[in-house]
Amino acid sequence: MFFSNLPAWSEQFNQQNLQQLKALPPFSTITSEWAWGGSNGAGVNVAVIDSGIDADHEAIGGAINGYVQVQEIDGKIEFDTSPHPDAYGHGTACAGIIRSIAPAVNIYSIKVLGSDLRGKGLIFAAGLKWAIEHDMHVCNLSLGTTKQEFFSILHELTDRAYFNNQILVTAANNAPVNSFPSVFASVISVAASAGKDPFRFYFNPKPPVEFGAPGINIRIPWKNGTWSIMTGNSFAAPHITGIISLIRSKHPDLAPFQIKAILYALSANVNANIEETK
Amino acid sequence: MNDQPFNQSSNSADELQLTIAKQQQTIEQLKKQIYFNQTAEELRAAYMLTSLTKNLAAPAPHRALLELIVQTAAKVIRATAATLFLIDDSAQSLVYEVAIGTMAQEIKNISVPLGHGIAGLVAVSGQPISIANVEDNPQQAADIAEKIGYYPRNIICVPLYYREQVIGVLELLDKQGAPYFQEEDMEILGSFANQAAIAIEQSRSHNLLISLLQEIMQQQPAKDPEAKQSLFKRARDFAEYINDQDLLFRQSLELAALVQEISMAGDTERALCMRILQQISLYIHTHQDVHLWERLQ
Repeated sequence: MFFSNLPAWSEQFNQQNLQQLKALPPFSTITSEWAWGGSNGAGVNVAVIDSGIDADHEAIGGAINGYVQVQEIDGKIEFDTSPHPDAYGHGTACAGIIRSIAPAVNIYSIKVLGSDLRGKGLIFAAGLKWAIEHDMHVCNLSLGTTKQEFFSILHELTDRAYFNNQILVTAANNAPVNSFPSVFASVISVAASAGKDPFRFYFNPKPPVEFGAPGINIRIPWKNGTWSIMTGNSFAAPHITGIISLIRSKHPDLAPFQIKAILYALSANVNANIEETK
Repeated sequence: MNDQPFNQSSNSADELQLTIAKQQQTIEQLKKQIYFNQTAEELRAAYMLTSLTKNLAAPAPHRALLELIVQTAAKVIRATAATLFLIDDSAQSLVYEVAIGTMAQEIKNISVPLGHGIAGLVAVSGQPISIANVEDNPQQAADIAEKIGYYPRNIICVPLYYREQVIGVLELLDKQGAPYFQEEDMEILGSFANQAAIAIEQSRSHNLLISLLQEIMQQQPAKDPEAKQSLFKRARDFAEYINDQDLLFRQSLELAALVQEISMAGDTERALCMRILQQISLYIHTHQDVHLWERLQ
């Protein structure tokens, strides 16, 4: 076991458990106005590695810029770039949340989640590899794999993304299991916290999950043009993806560690921001 | 630039606030621990009860365990109804095993393909999810509503993990005493689901073993081909099951037995064995992902 006695990761953002943190002086000078003021995410390529996207949903608010469906056919990985629907509604929810925060981002739907469990880990890794090789600046991964055999390959892919200045935002699994790549240091791992304000997020000083964002009983777009009120870490990650897209659009050369530091500095539980965001 | 990193007066107020927050945190953790212990205790009691059932070879005890798991979950989380699905790998479908509540009798022998409804999503994503307003979006409960005519208002659905994979899904419907399921319900149900998955897997292999042994006892004297065929089928099913579920464990045991045998042959043999294994280990560390990478190219 990589970690033992894992908690439910969103537990750390409960009102009772949430730690109030002191901001170090250099970080306290960072403001949200500096970080993303005036940005709409233009020019940023965002990959939603998920169950597909329903492009006609009102929440998507514009075209999908590219489609890739990853499948394993006769033992070979195939990439189909024709438009595809959403198998569940999960990918549409993520894309809708991202566009609600950063309306001008280019969204690419990388479909790796379907109705078949077979080959799931490899298809997921292949989808991530495609995103890394096709200049995706930010990738939303509201899914992962618990299979140990993919530990190493995903570790290498996430390091590759890190060194390319590509930001991977992952949802921590809220079941007490190790989910890759969300437990890696090279990604930004997110769990659900209470609240509806999309710009109010929290820092957790006890990783692997580092940030809490709205994901508890929030209204999200779903399959076939519907809306739903749902809870899950899957819906917290795209909030952070949206915010990173805004930052990335305004400051295109920032490295993942710099983006992480900016998110920490602007977290609602870091004392420079406690009053400001109340 | 201020030489002092923090303002002193607000610092002491902060310290006090932090101390209070920490104390509250400890109280909440203790409360939660008591809650978890109660949940674990209820599950243990359920499992004990099943183990004590006399008719071990019949399918009843396994079913009884599943029912008790679902009942315990529904009671602890305060849900009106609940279902347990297990994944059928070969059919890539979810099989309804047990349900409690008003629709309990309706679900026997029903299965739904993966890729259908919220239980299917939880099975393939491995992530717990809850929905507060199912009545506004009935498609999400299609897996249940269409099959059994029960229309829930809210749902919480968690994966059952055994080792690294999802073996099933536990779905609770309609929270009592609150408009929908709460954040802490997900935490508690998640921990409960993990214990339940272990109990289910243990019971499943135990059941298969007992069933096989009993058949051997009963059928051995009989010479008729049909009985023999049935016996072989069960033996094959069991062997396949063990192969599927416990391959790693079985192979590790075989490896340990081999190493022991070689070690007992003498010092030279033991040193040779050690050197070979060290070389293999080194090779694996250097090349372990080559085949996966090749498939990704």
